[in-house]
Amino acid sequence: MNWITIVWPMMAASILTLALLHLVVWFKQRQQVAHLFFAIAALGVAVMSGMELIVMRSVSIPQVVLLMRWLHLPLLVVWIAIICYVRYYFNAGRLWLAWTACYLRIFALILSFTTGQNLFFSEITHLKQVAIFGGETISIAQGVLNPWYIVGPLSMVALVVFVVDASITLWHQGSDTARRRAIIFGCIAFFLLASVGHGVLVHTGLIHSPYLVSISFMPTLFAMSYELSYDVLHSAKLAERLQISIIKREQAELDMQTQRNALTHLSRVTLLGELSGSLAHELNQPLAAILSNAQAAQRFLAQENINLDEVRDILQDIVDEDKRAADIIQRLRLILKKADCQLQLLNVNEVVQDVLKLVRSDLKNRGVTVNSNLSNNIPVVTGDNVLIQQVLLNLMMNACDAVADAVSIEQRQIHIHTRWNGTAVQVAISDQGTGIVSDDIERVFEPFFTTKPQGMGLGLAICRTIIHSHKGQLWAENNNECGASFYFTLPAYSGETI
Amino acid sequence: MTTSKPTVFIVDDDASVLKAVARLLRSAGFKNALFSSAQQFLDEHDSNASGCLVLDVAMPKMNGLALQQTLAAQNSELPIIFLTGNGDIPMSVRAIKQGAVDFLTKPVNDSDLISAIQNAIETNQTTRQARSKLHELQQRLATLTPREREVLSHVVSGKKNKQIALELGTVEKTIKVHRAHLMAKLQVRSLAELVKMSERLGIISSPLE
Repeated sequence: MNWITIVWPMMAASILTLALLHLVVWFKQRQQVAHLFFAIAALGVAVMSGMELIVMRSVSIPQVVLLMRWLHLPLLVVWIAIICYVRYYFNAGRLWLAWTACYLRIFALILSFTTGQNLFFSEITHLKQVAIFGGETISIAQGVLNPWYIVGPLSMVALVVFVVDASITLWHQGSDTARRRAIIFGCIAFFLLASVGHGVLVHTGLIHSPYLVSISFMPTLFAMSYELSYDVLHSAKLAERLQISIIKREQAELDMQTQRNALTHLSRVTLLGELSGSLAHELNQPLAAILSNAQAAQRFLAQENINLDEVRDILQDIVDEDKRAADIIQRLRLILKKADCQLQLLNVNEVVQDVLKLVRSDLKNRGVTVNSNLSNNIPVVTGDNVLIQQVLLNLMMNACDAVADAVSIEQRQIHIHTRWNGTAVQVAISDQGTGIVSDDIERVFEPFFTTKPQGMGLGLAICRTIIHSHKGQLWAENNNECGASFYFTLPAYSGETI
Repeated sequence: MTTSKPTVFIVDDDASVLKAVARLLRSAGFKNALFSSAQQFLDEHDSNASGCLVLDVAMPKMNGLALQQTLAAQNSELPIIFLTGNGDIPMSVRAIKQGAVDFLTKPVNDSDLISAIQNAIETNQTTRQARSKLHELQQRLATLTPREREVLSHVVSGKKNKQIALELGTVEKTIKVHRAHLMAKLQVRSLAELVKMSERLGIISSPLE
């Protein structure tokens, strides 16, 4: 085993590995054609190194003639691949120089098949066994040079000029990346020239050395690969930075959502604060019933003839009233809870009924009656129960405020309608108050706009945000006779998962 | 009339509270009648019955205070005990000024409610007795002839028979006969008793007024 037999296949193998890596990258990202061109160039160089090895080990002249003829095919492939790489990846290099290099190489290929034994020799007279470094012996073809021999080095010079021209263009672009690329190109050009010079010297028999064409392409390939990898690494870095900035943005959005939720919750708590007196009354009723029932039972039990049926009824009523009180507390806890939006299937009529239970006492105290006209033919909607309750509560209390000062019982009424308007469930809350000044009919939904002395002016703005987040609409209209109506819509549940 | 058992009328729009209060009063031996709204009470209650009214304040349509005013306008003598869940001071002052006998808050302790009801019923019975006595006197007064009424007003204003006869253009003996008749009809034996009765009937004004 000698070192040439080890080094050349190793070189071919490492180049093929690089080729394979970039082929995979290209396969994943088809628009990055530079990787494909690199892979093709690398493949060409690998084939060339194989051919060189066979020539150096050959003892048969016809075999060497044939290999030297066919060597020009992988050379053409490498040429085209390098030119395409420069054009597509760096977007530099003059087109006419590129075509010149290509045509010269094609011409070289044709000449290799049509003149002499190949482009190098008109005739190979013998294979000289030469001893080189490390005590190796290799075959070197000797003979009469082909007169067209010069076309090969010329095409190489054209390629070098193309590459140098491209690197000058890049250098003038001035950016760090462009300069780095220009330097890499300079190296490519140097190694290409070196390989041409070396080839000429070997073929003319002036020096005895192994063929180094494929080896001289190695630095070129490594430079190209380094440049491509640099880009891949750079993309990874950019992606990482992008990831960080996306995370920051998501965090900011999350913070904003949290703040919005907190504000919505605050508005809900304020709303319930206004109702607190009435809610206390609502809770007081079952407690009053429980106390009177229990004391009645004590009295019945103290009598001589105990009526057990009566006592049994009393205990049942106490149980029922206790549940009623618990139900009120449960409803309050639900609406006061600070929770994220939880979508569920809702029957709007049931939500209206729930809210009416909450405001019943307040309406009674203020002498306002509610007329509800709830359509049975409405589909279910998706929404957050608590948020929709909040909107209804807000609109009902506004309506109540609008009519609370009216004298006649007829005026102290609010109407609640639910219906299917053909595209969505529509809820209308109407009062018989003084209505809204026409200029303000849209402004009432702006934050901090209020007509109430103690109001913050956030209620309706938050209501509109809630309804919009449910893909619905909320608007106000003045009635024909007197007072105003607030409408909101909620789209029907369309069957997709919540 | 006074012999029939007094009734406690209860008006509350909350059915369970109404039922519970009624039960408590039944356990204490009171007869009661239940109404779920002010209007139902006005339409259905026996206005001649004795007793008292236990009234909720916050009710839809007509509230407790409005019912109190309506009853006052109808000269009802039914004492009213307010029973409210969220009463404030102005509300209780207003209720008491308009004649309510008590103002209690829910949940109410049984002894408070029962003693308030007992007081109210006693007040009501006193009032009713006084009114029935007056009614009886008025009936007696009505049996007098116009001439006897005329003589009565002169007698209680302190005039002598002779003076009266002179003013009415008749003789003293005739006045004496009228006087004996009217005292018999009014069932009084002395002039002092006659004056006292006249005062109650409003024929002469009380010296204190």
